[in-house]
Amino acid sequence: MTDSLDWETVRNDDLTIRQKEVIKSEEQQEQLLLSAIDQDTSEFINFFRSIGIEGNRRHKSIPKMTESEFVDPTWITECEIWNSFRDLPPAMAATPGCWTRICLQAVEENRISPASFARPPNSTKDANGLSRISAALNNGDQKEITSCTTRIFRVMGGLLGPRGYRTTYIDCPIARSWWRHRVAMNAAIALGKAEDTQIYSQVLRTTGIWEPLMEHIVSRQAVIGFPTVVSALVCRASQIAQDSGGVGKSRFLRVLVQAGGRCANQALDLLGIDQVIGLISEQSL
Amino acid sequence: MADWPILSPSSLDYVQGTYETENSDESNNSTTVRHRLIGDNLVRRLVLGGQAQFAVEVAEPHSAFRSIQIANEQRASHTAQVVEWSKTTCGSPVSIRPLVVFDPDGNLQLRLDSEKDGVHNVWHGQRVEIQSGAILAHDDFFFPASGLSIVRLAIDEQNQIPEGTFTVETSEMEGFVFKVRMHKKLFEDMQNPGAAIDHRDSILTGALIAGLSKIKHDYTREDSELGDWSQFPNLRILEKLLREKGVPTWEDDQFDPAYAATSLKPTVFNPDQGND
Repeated sequence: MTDSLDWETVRNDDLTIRQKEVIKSEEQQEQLLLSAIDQDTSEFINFFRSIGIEGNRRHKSIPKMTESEFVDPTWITECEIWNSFRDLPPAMAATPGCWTRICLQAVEENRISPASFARPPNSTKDANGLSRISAALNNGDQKEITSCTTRIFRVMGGLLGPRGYRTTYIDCPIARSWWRHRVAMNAAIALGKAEDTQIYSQVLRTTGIWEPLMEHIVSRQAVIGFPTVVSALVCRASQIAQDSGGVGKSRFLRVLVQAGGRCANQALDLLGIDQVIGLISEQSL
Repeated sequence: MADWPILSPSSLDYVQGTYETENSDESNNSTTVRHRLIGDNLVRRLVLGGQAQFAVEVAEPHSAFRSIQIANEQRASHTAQVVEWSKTTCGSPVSIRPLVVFDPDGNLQLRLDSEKDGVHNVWHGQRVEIQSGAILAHDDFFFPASGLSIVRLAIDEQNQIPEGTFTVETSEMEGFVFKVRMHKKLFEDMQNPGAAIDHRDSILTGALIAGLSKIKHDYTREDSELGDWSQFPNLRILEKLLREKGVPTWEDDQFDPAYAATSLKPTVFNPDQGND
């Protein structure tokens, strides 16, 4: 096992360059998908070694998970992911290479099958990653082959493109779990109730919360990434959920936009968390 | 619009006084911001009276980082503030916005007087409440120049490139870099050029031309799937540098990568530590 400084050896620039090359090459896409459905995972591992993911250092592992669990880790699994990688520097945890490497190690340790990464979102048990890849290859459906390839890259750690840097926070389930736990925990600690981390994590799992929140923190136009403001927003979403039985994407978006407007003219991060919650609540009534 | 007047380059709220800032880089993870309030107005009075403070907003959104740092020395119309950030927290170049913020623990109600407070006539006679933490003045966001390290040299580890040659690829990580992969011998010569410094500079300019051509090709087509170039801090810095020099950028029809690259000389580069 190694210390956190070793994360700096991940070659994110090489990975993103090679991901783009693979997406342009039908031959390389097919090679990747064939290796993903092979019982022997060595070809899959070698493929990623050849595109910039080194393997000479070992890190802690993610828990062993089923395919459906991997796509949407439970609270317990989220805690295990957080505990395994709590020392990860945020600058690294925001990159595709970091999580791709963790996923590749999980493949090496037989904790997850490579085909799982191609599982379509919201799929049934019958429509798993293996059947999806097999169908795409058997039918010679190039559009679906490319879709499986990009899905593998996104789910393993992220694929820059139209989503930009948000890809890691949104597309990679274990990165999403790690960041969600961090945001929920910081909110709980800021409010003096560390034991409420699970409640806030649950709120962040609600449809229509996590993606817009990260969009407003990570994108170029972002203005609300201050820790106190993010914690206040999580708390406000929780209050709305309690009062109204749900948050609702459009309502949460309104809260985000209004909080952003206030951040442009007021240094909310210098205020106490209760004061910021009050200001946000006042606006979002 | 805020509930109180704001002194900034983009606002007409104040007619008396200006807020000026400049910065000089200390290292690749720190910079010194010099704040200066010139002329008499409400903001300056509040700073001198200890009710408002110089500060900066430091942002690196890709790593979900944003914070406000207050300057140590206050109660003066000018001060120098050392701003620092951590490489383990900020993976891409940071941007910094100089600010004057009102006391986080207080608020102030007052009736504005255009003459005494230096505000525009539209504010004259208006009763305002300046809330705790209110931003009273700000300058534009800027990127510390030390943040721009867009050319990254690396060794061709797989020995696919013949001696004396190099390739250029683009990577969106760390704010966007042109990755220049070289034969090992050339890489070593670039790091220790000796008397061949002009040769090294020519190679760097060539690499920059290739990189700029790729931006034009990859990011300005309507069918591009790579997203908007302006999401990458280094490209925003580069574009601003070109605009300041009056050189057409990849957004312009007249863009010429060779002209742009030679206008940017000397090219700053960064040997890839990952190959050590």
